[in-house]
Amino acid sequence: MWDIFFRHPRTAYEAGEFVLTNVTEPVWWWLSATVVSMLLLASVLSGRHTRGWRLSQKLVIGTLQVSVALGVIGLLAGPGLKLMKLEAGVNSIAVLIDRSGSMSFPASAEPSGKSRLDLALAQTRNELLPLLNGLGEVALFSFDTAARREESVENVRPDSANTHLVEAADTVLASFSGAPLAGLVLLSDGADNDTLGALEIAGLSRHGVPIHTVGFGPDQLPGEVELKTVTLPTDAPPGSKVVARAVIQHDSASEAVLKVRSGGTLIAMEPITLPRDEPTVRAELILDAGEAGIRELSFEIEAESGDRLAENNRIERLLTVSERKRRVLYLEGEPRWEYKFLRRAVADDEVLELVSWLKTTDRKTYRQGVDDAAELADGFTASKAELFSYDVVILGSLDATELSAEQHAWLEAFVAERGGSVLTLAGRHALADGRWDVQPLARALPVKLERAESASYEALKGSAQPTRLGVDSPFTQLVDAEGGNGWLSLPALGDLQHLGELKPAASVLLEFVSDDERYPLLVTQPYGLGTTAVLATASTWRWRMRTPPDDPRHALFWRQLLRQLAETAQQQRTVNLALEEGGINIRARLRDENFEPALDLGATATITGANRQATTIALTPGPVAGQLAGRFVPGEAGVYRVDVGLDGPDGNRETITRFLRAGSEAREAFNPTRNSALLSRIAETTGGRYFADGDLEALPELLSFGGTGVKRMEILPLWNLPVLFLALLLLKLLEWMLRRSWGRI
Amino acid sequence: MRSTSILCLTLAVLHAAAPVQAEEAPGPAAQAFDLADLTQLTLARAEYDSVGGMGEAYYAFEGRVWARWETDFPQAEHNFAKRLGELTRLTLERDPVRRRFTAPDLGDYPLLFMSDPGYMRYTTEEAESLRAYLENGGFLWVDDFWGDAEWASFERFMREVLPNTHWREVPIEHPIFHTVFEFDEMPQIPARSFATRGGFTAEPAWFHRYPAGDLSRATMRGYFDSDGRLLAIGTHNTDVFDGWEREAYGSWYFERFSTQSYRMGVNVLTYVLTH
Repeated sequence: MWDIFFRHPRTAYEAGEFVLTNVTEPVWWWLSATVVSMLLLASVLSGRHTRGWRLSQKLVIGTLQVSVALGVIGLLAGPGLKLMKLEAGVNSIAVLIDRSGSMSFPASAEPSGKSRLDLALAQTRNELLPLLNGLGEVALFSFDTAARREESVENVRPDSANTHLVEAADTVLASFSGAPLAGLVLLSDGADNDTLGALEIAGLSRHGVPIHTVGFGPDQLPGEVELKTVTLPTDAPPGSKVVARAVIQHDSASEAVLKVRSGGTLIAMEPITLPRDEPTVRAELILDAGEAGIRELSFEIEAESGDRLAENNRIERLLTVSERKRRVLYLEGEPRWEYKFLRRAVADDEVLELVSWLKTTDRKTYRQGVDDAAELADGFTASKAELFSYDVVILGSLDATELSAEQHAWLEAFVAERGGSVLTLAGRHALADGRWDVQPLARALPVKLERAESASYEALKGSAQPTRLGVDSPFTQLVDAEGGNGWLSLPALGDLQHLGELKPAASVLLEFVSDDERYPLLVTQPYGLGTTAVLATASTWRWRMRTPPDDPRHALFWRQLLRQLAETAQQQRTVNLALEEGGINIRARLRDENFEPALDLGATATITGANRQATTIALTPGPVAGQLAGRFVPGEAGVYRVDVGLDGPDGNRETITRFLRAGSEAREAFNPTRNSALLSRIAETTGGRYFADGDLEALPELLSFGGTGVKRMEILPLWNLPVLFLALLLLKLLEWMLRRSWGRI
Repeated sequence: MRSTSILCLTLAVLHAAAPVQAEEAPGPAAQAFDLADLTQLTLARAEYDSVGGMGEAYYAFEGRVWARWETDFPQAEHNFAKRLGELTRLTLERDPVRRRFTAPDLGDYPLLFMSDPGYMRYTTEEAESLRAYLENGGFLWVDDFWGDAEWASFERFMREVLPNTHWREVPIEHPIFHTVFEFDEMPQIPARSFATRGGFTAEPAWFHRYPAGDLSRATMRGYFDSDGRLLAIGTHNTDVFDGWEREAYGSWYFERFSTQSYRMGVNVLTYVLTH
C-alpha cells in the first residue's frame, strides 16, 4: 500500500532531505503563493457568486479552494527528496551469525523444534543473502567468544563455547577499518556471558556503522526454572553460620527444592514455592561453614515438573573458611550474672576473642582478655584506632557518663565510619536509663531513646520467641538436640528493658512474650557502614543455668549473635575476586588503623591455577582511594588461588589469600530465552534496527539509504506521488459535496 | 557463735523438736519458690541434712535450736548484701533464700553459700543435682568448718558430686585473692565466741568434730574444672560468714575480723561473677 501511494520506501523519507527542484528564489515563490491565496480568498468572500452565503460557508469553501491552489503551486515547484544512496557494487555488508552454545537451543518454545542456529542459517541462506544481493559484497562471519570469517553459510557449525557478542561485533567492525562497510547484520539470540555495561555497548557506536540485529529464540520458555545467581561471603570463620543467597528465575508456578552439596554430600536443602505471578524468587540458606579450609559448594534447584533446561540449574561456589579472629569488646558497668555467662559462652570459641572491662566498684575495674597491662587501663580504649581494632562492642549496664564526649564520638564513628557492630544489653544503666539518649550513639541504635520518669528496666517473666524475620535470620538460628525449634523449650527470661519506638530501618528478630503481651527483644538495624543491635534482657544466663549441662543453646545463641555481628563488620583489608569478561578481576580495599584509605601500601597478586603455575601481577590504584586493582585472564577452567601481598611502608608484608573457580559452569544455558533488550539496545545505539519478527524486507532500504559506506547523491521526485493527486481530488470532492448540501452550487 | 556454753545448754527435750523448728524457720527462708527478681542478685544458702543428734546435726544457741546448715543464716547474708551494696556496684536483694540441692529453681542462684558441713549427710540425688549445677556454671562456697574430720565430711560429699575432681589448695597468687582487694594470705576468722583482740585466731579443736588435727592455718581449698575455673571453694579453718554476721558485736571485732571477711567476700563474689 505504501508503495502505491508514496512510490519510494519509507526509509528514503526518513533519511532524505526535502527540496523544491524548480525553485531557485524561494522568496518570490512564497510571495506568489501568498498573492494567489489572498486573491482567491477575497473572491470567495466578496464575489457576486457567493452573495447570500453565510460567512462560515464562505470561509470553509475559501479554505478548501486555497488549499487546492497551494497544492498545485507546490507541485509546480518540483518537490523531491535529496538523499545519499548506497553505491552499488562498491560497498561491503557484514553478516555476523551467532554460533555459540545457546544457539543450539530450540528456536521456539517447542522443545522438539529447529535449533536457533538452524533457523538463522536458513534465514541467511534463503532470505537475507538474496535481499542483500546487488547492494554490495556480503562478508560472512560467525562468532562465539570471538569472531571468525566464514566462506559460506554451510560452513557455519554450532559451538558449545560461551558468547562474547559485543566483543565479536567490535572485532568485525574493526576489521573493516578504512574499507567501505554499509552495515553489519547480526543474527543472534542475544545471550551474552560478558557482564555488559552501557559503556561497552556504546563503544560499538565509535565505528559509525549501523548494526541491524535479528533475534532468534523464544521470549518465554514455559516451565523453565533457572538458578540465576548464588552469593556467598568471601570468607567465613570456622564453625560459623554462612548465609547463601540464591535468586531463582522461573516461567511457571511450581514447587522446587534448593539443594546444597559439599563434596557430593547433601548439607542443606530448602523447599521453595515458585509463584505464578513472581518470575524471580529469592531464597536464603544458612549453612555451617565447617572447619578451616576451602569448601566447594554446589547449589542446585530441582523443580517438581516442567523444567526445560537442566544445565542452568546448578551453580558452583567456593567458600574460604579462615581462622581469622574477630575481636569483641565488652564494657559492663556492674558485676552481674549476664557478664559471667556471656564470657563463658564464648570462652572457647575459635573465632571470637572477647576483651572485657567491668566496673566492680566506683573506683575499681576488672579487665579480662587484655593483652597487656596498658590495654583498657583507663577504662576505655585510649584511642580511636584502638577502638577500631575491635569488630564488635557490647555495652552492658554502663552509664553514659562513664565515657568522655570524645569517646562517645568514637563509638558513633565506630558504627558509621569503621563499619563495626554495637550491641547494647538491658540493665538499670542501659539505654535511656543510663543517659545514652543524649549521646551520638543514640542516632545509630534501632530504637528511639526517650528518658521516662520511671525506669524502663524491670523484672518480668517471659519467653523469647523469634519473629518471622528471626526464624530465617542467621542471628537467631537455634535448634534443639533433635533438630527442632530450639526456642520453644528454652527457660523463661526474668527481666525486660522496655524499648522506645522502633526506627524505620529496625528489624525485630526476637520478641519477649509475657501474658500474651509481646515486646521487642532483639532488634537490629544497619547504620552507616555498620550495624547496631539491642538485646532488651540481661537474663539469658537462665538458658545456661536452667537447662541440663550438655544443652548447648545458651552458648550457641551468644556465639551465633556475636559472630554474625562480627561478620557484618567491615574489615580493614578486603580482597574481592570477580569473574568478569572472561578474566579474574582482583580488587583490594585497604584502610589504615583509623579505617581511612591506606595510600602507602603497595600490593602484588600471585595467581596459582590448577596446573600449579604461578603468575604475579602488580595491583595498581583503582578509581576509589585506597583501592588497588588488577586483572588476570585464566587459561583453563579450575580453581585459582590468589595471594595478595601487601607491602607496608615499614617493610612489613601481609598476605591475604582468596580462591575462585573459573570457567566451569555452563553459562550458555543461563538466560536461555531471547535477549531482545540487548539486541534492541545494540541496534538503537549504533543507528540500526532490531528485527524481532524475522521479517527482513526493510533491510535493503535501510542499508541503501541509512547505511554507511560509499554513496552517491540522488533526488527522488515527489510531484508525481499518487497520494498528492488523491489529496487534491479529495479536497475538490469535499467542496462539491458541501456546496451541494448547502444548495450553493 | 558456738561455744561451750551453747553445748551445755543443749537439752535433750529439744532434741526431738529441733528438726521441726529448723524446717519452719520464719522469715525470708520461708519464701515461695517463684521466679526470682533477676534484675538483682539474690544470695542463696544451701539447706542440707546432717547426721547425729543434738550437738551434731543440731545445736542450741541464743535460745533456739539451729540445724547445721543454718549457721550464720540469714544475718550473715543480710549484712553481706548491705555491705556489698556500699562497697561495690552490685545490686542485691537484701533477703537471701534457702534452697536444697534438689530445688528445681536452684539454677536461678548461681552462687550458693554453705556453712558448717562437718556432719552432713546427703542423697545420691542431691549429689547429682549439685553436679549439674556446678557444671552449668553455678558456684559453691563452703565456710565454717574446722579440722580434718569436718573437712573429710565435706570431701566425701564432693567425691560423690565431682568423682573425677580432687581438691587443691588455692594459691595466694590465684585471681580470687586479687579481684578487688589484695590478699597475701587466707585470713582466719574465728567465731565471735572465740575471737580475742590479739593472739590466736583459731577455734579450739575440742569444739569441732574429732579428730580435728591442726586448726591453726586457714586455707582456701578449691575444686577446678577442666578450664582451670573454680567450681567450688571451701574456706577451711576459718569462719568468713561469721565475720559478716557478727559485724556489730563490738568495734574491735569489726575492725579486726569483719573487714577481712567483707574483703574476702567481695573478692570471691567478684571472681564468681566474672569466671
